[in-house]
Formats: sequence, C-alpha cells, structure tokens
Amino acid sequence: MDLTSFYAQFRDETADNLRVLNDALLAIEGQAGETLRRSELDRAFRAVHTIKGAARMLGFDPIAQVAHAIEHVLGEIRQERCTLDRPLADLLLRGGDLIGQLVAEAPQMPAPALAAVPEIVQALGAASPAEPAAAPSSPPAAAPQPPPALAEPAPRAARQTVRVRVDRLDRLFNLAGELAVNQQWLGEVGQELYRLQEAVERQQRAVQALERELARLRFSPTQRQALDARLATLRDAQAALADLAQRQSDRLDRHLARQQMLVKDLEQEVMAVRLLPIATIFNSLPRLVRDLAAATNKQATIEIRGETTELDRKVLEVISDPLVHLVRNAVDHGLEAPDERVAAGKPPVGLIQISAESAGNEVRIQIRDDGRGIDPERVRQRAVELGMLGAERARQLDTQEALDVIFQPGFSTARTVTEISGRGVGMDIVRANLIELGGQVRVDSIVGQGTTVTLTIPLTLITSRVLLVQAGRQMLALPAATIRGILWVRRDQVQLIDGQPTIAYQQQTVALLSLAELLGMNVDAPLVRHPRAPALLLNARQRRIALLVDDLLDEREAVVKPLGPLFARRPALSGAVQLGDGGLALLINPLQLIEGGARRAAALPVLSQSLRDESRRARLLVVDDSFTTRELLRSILQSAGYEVTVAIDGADALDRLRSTTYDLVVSDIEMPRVDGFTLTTRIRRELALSELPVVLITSLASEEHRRRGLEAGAQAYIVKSQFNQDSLLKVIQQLLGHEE
Amino acid sequence: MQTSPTQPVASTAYLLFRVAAERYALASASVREIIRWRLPTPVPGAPPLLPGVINQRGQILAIIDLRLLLGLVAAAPDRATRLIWVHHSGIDAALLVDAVDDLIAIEPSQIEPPPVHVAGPAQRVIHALYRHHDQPVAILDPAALFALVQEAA
Repeated sequence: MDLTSFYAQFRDETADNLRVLNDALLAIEGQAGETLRRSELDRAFRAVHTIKGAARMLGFDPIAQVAHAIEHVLGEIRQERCTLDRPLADLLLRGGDLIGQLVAEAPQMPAPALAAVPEIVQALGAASPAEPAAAPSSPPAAAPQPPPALAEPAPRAARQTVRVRVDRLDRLFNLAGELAVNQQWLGEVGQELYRLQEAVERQQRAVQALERELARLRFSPTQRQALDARLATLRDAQAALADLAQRQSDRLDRHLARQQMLVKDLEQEVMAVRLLPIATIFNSLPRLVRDLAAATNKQATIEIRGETTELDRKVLEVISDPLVHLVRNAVDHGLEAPDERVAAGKPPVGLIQISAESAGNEVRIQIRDDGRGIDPERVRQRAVELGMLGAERARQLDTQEALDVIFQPGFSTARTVTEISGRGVGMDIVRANLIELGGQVRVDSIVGQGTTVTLTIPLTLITSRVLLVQAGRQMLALPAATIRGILWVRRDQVQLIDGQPTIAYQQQTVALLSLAELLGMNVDAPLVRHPRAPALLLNARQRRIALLVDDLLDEREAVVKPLGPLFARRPALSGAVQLGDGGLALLINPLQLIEGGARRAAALPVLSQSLRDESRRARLLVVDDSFTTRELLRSILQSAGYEVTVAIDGADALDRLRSTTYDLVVSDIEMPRVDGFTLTTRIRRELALSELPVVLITSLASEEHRRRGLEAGAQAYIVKSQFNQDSLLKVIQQLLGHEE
Repeated sequence: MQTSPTQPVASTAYLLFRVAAERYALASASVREIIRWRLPTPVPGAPPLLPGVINQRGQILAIIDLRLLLGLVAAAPDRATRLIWVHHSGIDAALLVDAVDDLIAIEPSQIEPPPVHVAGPAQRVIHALYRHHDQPVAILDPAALFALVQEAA
C-alpha cells in the first residue's frame, strides 16, 4: 500500500497541531483566569493526543513516544498534580519542537532528532512524578495504550475544508487566464459578425438599386416575369441572411456579456483561494520573542495586529524568513537590557509591535521596537571603516540614506556591526527577498526611541501592476512598484560625469542607463535615435538611476507567468506577461538587473551641457489617481520649466495645499476619496484660495460636466481626447499671466 | 503505423521527427503536444539556441532550437517546421524540429546502444539507437537535453 499521501497529510496535520500546542502553552503562561487556562490546556491536550494517535497508526514510534510524554505531563497539570512553571513550559515546548523536527521529513526521521528522543522523554517523565520515568535504553514500545479518559479526538469534521495541492491551484488559475484570453478572441468574432451585417446591408441596397434600374428598362412580358421571379428569390434570401446575421450577432453579444462576468468571477475566486491569512506566519512570533528575550536576558512583550490580513501563499513563503529575522533583530539588537531601559526612563519590559494591513494592491507589514534605535552617525563611521564609502560620500548621506546602508551586503554581514549599529546580519538577504517579490523594505529609526522596519509587498504574485515600455524593437513589462517616476530627457540635458551619462533632477544627479543595452540588446541608445526619450526613475534607494526607454506604451494589471527553470540563471527576467492578443511581453525586474552586476554604462554621445535657468519657476500641483497620467503630466510640465509636485487624489492635494503654496493646480476629475469637482469647490471655500488657478483635465467630455467644473470654480477644462501638450502649456501660461 | 503484426505489451510509443537530414525519436510519454511553428517572443541576452518563448494555452514554453543544440546550422522555418512540447523532470519546453513524421511503437529488444563514433553535444543527448526501415533513428534523452540547455543558458 502506498502511504505517501498519508505521510504528506500527517506532516501537514502535525504541523497544525504543533502550532495549536505552542499557542496554547504560551497562552496558559500568560493567562491568569482559571477558565481560560483550563480551555487552553484542553486544546493543547487534544492537539498532542491527535499527534500521538496518527504517529502510532503510521508506525512513527519515536514521535508517538514524545507525544505521549507531553500528553502525560499535560494530564498531570490538568489533574493539578503538578504546576506549569517556566522550566516545565520550556520543556514542553522543546518536546513540541522535537516532534516538529521528526515530522518535517517523515517518513525519514533525522538522526540527531532521533538521538534527542530518549533525553526529552526522560526529562518529561521526570517532570511528572505520577509516572515513572521511562528508561532511555528501553523506551516504551508502541503497544496499545488506553487513551486517557478525558481525551477526545480533535473535532475535524466541523471544519469544512479540503487540502488542495498548490500546483493544482496554479493550473486552475492558468485555465482561468486562458478563458479570459479566449474571451477576447470571441470578442473579435463578434466584430467580424458586425462587419458581416454591414456587408449584408450594402448588398441589400445594391439589390434595391438594381431592381430600380431594371424597372426602367423594357423587357418582354416573359422576360419581365422571369426577372421578377429571380428578384423575389434574391430578396427572400437577402432577408433571411440579414435576419440570421442579426440574430447571431445578438446572441454572441449576450453570450459574451454573460461569459465576461463569469470569467471575472472565476479569476477572482481562484485568486482568493491562494490567499492565506498572515497569521500562519505571525503565529510563530510570540514564541520566538519569548525564547529570544530569555536567551538574551531581556524582557519583551509582543503585540500583533492585523493577523487576518491575507496574502498569496507564495508571498508568505518568501517573507517568512525575513520576518523572523527582523523580529530577531528587534529583540536581540533593538531592545536594551531591563536596567538600561529603566535608566533611560523606559519601562523595563520592551515592546515589539508587529502589524499587517492591506492598502490597495499592497500589504504593509511593520516591525516596530521601542529599543535604542540606530544611530546614523555610527552607520556612516562603520561604512567608512569597512571601506564601503569614502568619508566625503558618507558625510553627504542624509539620515534616511545612512540607515539604508545597513541593507548593503558587505555591511550587515560584518560581525562587529551588531555591537555598533544595533542591527544584525542578513539585512541584505531581507532586501533581496523583498526585491524578488517586487516589494520594498524601509527602515526608520529614532535614536533612543526605537526602530521601525516597513515591508511593502504586492498582495498577490499572479497579477501585478506593470508598465509596458518599448525598448529597442521589443515590448517589455516592468513592475510598477519598482519605478518611482518618469522623467523625459532631452539630449541637451545629458551631462557626462566620469564618462557616465547623467541628468540633473530635483537638485540631484541621476545616472542614465539604457534598458535595452543593460539587457544586452544590440540597438542604439534611445537618445541616439530620438531627441527626447522617457526614462524610468527606479525605486532603488542607494543609487539614483533612471532607465532610458524608447517609448511608454501602457500601464495595466497583468497576469504574470513564470519563465521556468531554463531561465533560472537570469533573475532579472521575472516572468512573462500575457497580452490581450495572446502575445507575451517579458517582465523585467529593473532592480535585479542593476543588482545583477550588469551595470555597464549606456554609452550616450557627448552632448552639449546646458542648464536651464532656474530662477523663479512657477510651482504646480498635479493631481491624478493614475500613475501614468500623473507622471506624463509631471514630465511635460517639468520639461516646460515648471516645478511640479504630484498628489494621488483630491484629499492628498488638499493636504499639500494646506502646507505649501502653489501657483496653479492641474487636476483629474474622477478620483477616489475627493474628486476634481469637490477639490475645486473646497479649494475655493475651505482654503479660501479664490485666486488659485485650477485646470481640470478629464475624459468626461459632456457639456454638463464642463458646466459643473466651471461652476465649481475651475478656470479651464481640458478634455483628454482633445488633449495635446501645447494647448495645456498655453492654458497654463495664460493663467499664470506670463504669456509669451 | 505498426512495426509488428501483434502489438507486444512491452513496446513503447515514440514520436519520430527530423532535424536537418537526420531522424530522431522521443518517448511519447514526455511529449505533451505538437504545435505549429509560430514566431516566439525573443528573450534578450539568451543564447541563439533559445530563440524565445511562446504562450501555449497559458503555459510559457521556452523554444529550444534542436539544430543549434546538436551543432548544426540554423534553418529558416517552413510549413513543415514544428514545435514539440516536452514535459520532463519538471521542465516544460518546446523543441524546434524540421518536421514531425510519425508515432511508432518500439520494443525494447529493437533498441541498440548509441553509436560510439558520435561526438560533441549529440553524444550527450542520444541515449539509444533504433533502425527504422534500415535508417538509423537516434532516441533522445530529454533529461540530458534539458541539462545541456541549462548549461548553455
């Protein structure tokens, strides 16, 4: 009999039960109320009893022995024949850990874990005087043992769940994606049917014209009769054809509309199935904090929020280790010893706060401690000592940039760093894992008050927001999360610094690289072929880099598929994006591309160096909820010499208007929270800025909307379909009163 | 087509195809599908033997140009050109071949060891030989083939 599937099930189930055991033991420790204590104890008891039963059935005697010993101790505690003090809790937890190790690769059981069994069993036996300790040399055999009277099997029937293999889910999602693509194809068939109907109508008109012509000609009565008969047949056939074409077209339309909805629903359902609550990884953290605090002679409590936040299971897998690592750092290096804390006027018990929340397409996870914080000055010193930065460069780093240095590979692996900066090893790994996911990590710290690490992660890996660009002859996709903004670069703005083409942007120097060239495509750099080209400003904190491309094509939500193991050695290729027509665009992770050492400077010809006159530039606020439109407007206006700030919606714009003075606002109309009409009204009423010019740009082309916009107090109303750069710039110039 | 009048139980089905003038076979167990040639999406920086990827009903397949893998000169695709979707050891890929000929049953007794004089990359991927109407047919080992591609990628 093939037991493989049973083993897999046993592994999963035991992992679940161990989690219950762990949670329950920790809860008992912190639980004063007798009733709650009691129910947690019951939970722990049931979990370990289930493990024992299953292990016996599959013949894993060592696991059954350990489970039995734990169960016995728990029974004694329940009978109040012994108390659960700290050492005993430790012992029980260690027992649970040992089972975890034994189960991990079942049916194989690792030798070191097996060797530890007698010791644990003996220790547990010694802890509960009622049963004599089992001798390590002759552990209790797997002989049937009467189950304790109080034990009851875990109530499994009540959970209406099924375990499904992930590859099956992936296939399911694949198929849903295929359906969507097929749907688009059917839509094209619908278009063909429309054209067929048009052709039939043209034919009908031609036949009518022919009839009129024939009516004017003279024929003999027999000829006339024959002609009429033929024409009648033709008319009938014509009518039947028109009717058929019409009906088929209507049917297809109705079918398409219905199917569209079904496909969308299906996609969403399948996607939702892959989501798991983050509790699955948060649950191990209280134990981690408890053990670490004990090991480092510190006191710590942990607060967890948002554990029901859901994430794709693949994402959970990848962030699990970084999360553990960050929590470990927070306790080990973040928190001070109790006496030190008291001396600093803090409570002796340190607080670790972990929270998760979803925001749109992203999930934000924060790990916060109220410890000593990271001193940016020490990070600078250390970076110089390690030879990673010149003293000059280190001085130039602002606080945030200095904190970011801890993510550099050479920095965090240096052993002594732990004593100096307060942060441990492996921050570079944390960052690498997040970049792989298309996510980000940020550290904020205040000396003496604590450190907060924020991970921003895409909700699901299946679809992601991508930017489609033209690079050379190829269309490529880049994750929108990796791009901070878009700048339009003119040839005459490029300056060579040490042979590296750069551009000045917001008082900073940005290195310009050609995306096509980084990818090894054999084409000229965009600026050789165009006088002006867009550049994608990367979200890489260490280096200011913008990638030149030939054109921006689109921004969309796309299904990302893996390229498979044959391209495993090229981490910058993170997959392929399926386009509507069934074609593909490769998904490039630009951060990996840069990290991958392929940092050859894109050779740009030496161009004249001219700096624009920076005196008195008008300050504009661009408000739009679409990333692409926002960046497009920003680049157009910046190229025209304006200083541009962007806001993501009306509410954001109002916040900015409250704190800064602007000369003009350019806003979209349809936006979440506060729309363009409301924004205009509130600028006039609440902020009392009656003179501030507001330009509304919108796809709402109706007269009604134009009227509403002007009524709300907008000075100009530009419809997107009529949109062109020159007219926008002209309107702005007029409104600002410096018309040329 | 049948190679023997009574179909023996032990025989295995093989897909017979051509690359340049030579005949090759793959155990049909690892063949998912035969696809007409279509223009792939090129992968920047990949070696010529991986001319790109295609999307076949939601599965992304890397195309492996068997001519280049076997050290032959590349040829322009024509009407007979086919892509063989191979699924083996967890890898899905499409082999670019000049033509697909037949599906035949081969008995283990008809299979001979590979010729000793073959050199170069072919030596690694040919794991047996079979005579089909007195013409030699080289039976390919998909695992070795993928391993060779991965070294080149």
